[in-house]
Amino acid sequence: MHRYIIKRLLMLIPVLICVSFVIYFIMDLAPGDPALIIAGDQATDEMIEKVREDYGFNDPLIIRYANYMKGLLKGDMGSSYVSKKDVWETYCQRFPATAKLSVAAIIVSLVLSLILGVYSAVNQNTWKDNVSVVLALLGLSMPQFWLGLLLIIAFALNLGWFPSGGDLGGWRSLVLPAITIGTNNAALMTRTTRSSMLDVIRQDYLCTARAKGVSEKKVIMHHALRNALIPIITIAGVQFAYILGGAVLVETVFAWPGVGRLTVDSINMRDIPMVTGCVVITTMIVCVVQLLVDILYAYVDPRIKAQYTK
Amino acid sequence: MSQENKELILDVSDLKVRYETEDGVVHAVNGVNIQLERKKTLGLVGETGAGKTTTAMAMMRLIPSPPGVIECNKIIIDGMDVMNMSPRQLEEVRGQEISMIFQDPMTALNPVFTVGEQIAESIEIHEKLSKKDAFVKAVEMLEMVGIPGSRAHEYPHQFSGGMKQRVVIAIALACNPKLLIADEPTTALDVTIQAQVLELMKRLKQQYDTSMILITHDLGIVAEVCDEVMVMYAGRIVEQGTLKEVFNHTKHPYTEGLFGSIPNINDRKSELQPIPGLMPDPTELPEGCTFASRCPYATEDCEKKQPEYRYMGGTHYVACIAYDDPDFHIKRRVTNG
Repeated sequence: MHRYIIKRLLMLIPVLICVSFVIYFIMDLAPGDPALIIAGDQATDEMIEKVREDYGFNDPLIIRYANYMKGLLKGDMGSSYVSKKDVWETYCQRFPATAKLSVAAIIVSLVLSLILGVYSAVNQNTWKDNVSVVLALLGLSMPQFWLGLLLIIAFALNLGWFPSGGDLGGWRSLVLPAITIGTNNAALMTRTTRSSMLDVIRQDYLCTARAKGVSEKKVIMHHALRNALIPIITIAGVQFAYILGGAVLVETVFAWPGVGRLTVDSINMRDIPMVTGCVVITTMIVCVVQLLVDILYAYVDPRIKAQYTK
Repeated sequence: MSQENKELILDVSDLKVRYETEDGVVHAVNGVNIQLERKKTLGLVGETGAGKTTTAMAMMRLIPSPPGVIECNKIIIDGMDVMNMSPRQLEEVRGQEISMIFQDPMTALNPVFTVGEQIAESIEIHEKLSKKDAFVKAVEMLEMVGIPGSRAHEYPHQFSGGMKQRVVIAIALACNPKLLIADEPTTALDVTIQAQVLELMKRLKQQYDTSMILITHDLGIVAEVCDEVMVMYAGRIVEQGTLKEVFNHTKHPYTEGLFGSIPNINDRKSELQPIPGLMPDPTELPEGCTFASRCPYATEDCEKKQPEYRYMGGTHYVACIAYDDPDFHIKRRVTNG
């Protein structure tokens, strides 16, 4: 198991090199000149040229990338062209808000999807099942920003139960954005839960459990669900990593100070170190979350654990 | 057949099971009567699709509904009518009064729990023991079926097929049930393991005074283990009696066909005589005898109406109208008896 984890962590290195190069390359291709933005509106041609010289924009792409990677190896992600602040520090300031929102959102979607998915699988092909499937479809097809706006109108403006935006600390400001992201993710996870449960529900070992005198509720929640968890964990892991990378739309609607908006703002400003930094850190987070998911598999299914230790 | 009887562990009367699917109604079991005395073993024999497993599942009320529908006068197990029980009461009966060994040990165990946990679960439910005490008892059960207790913490994938079936047997016997249904317990195992598992079941059955229904299509196993035999065809019992009566004085043409399909070890040159044709489609059962279309003795009368049970002496019954003619006899030669 330890060897497996170390192997997976080592695999992070080539992934990070590829991702950082691709993002560096794309930012270079993007229209717009960072030197113009750094020098400001009033800058003369000489000043712009001086900025280019100072920041090394005149060097070939490969040299610039090599310099960036040299810094990265030393743990230096550079500083923002715009705010002049350190990239790592800026990211770290924004990350707690995103982490908080991600955890809340994934809890919302897990709870919703497990209840709906199991319920509709147990009542397969009845009207109860159909209602659940339609609900899931509705959640899937509703644009997040629209659902967010509806929630703000209903619960912030009219009822005044929750704040309409911003991270004010405490759980209240989390509720609406978490529900917005959670509902959308729950839709896909409900479908996964349903089909995964349907696979398991016909297995012989459930009959063995019933023949032992296990109650129907326990057969479903204990014997069946545990076996249906692997695909559910997979999807939940992917979605969790995705929100951790920044849920730009929802962060925008709720004025949430997360990393998603930081990344998008940096792209608009052609703030190359900031963008590259955000993408590299996000990549790392996604990889670590995936690793955690794979480790979780081993705890859910002993057969997978046996494969890891081989 | 007889009335309420204290010596009976199982009394099933006129059991019918059908599956109402979109493609039509499947008549899986069509009026089965079973009476079994305590400590006896009944062999339920028939080819695949005859309704043997459905009959067994119906006795435990484990038929999924929908699509399954059970209709029955009574299913009395140890004096209690299973047909009138609430789900809660059924849970108490299952595993304690009646339990079941399933056909395929590869799929009958839950892959994510240790075998010890799976045996202990039954004990925990029925004997109201704590998790820890139940596990201790589960380890004892495991040793009883010949698996070292230290392996209780292992998962099903770490066991071979024969070992898994031993675990399934341990689960079924964990709470010392009065009636054990074994649904083709050796079909999925290879021959050397089959003998071991049968031997184990015979030993434990005697040790615990359990009554047993053995479902199989292997007449050799029936001869080895059973006291009584029922031959099932298309959801009906076509012949029943003691082992001797059915094996040595075979009456029904279908039973004869089953014996004809067994290789003869004394005459290696002789060819097998399979029963021609297929079992009728259970969605459209014929009006008359269901075996008529495959029966070498069939006459026009066979297709008119269903044959009644005919008493053949002892406890021997057969459902065949050919015996209306007192001179009728089937061709099978019986060697002894």
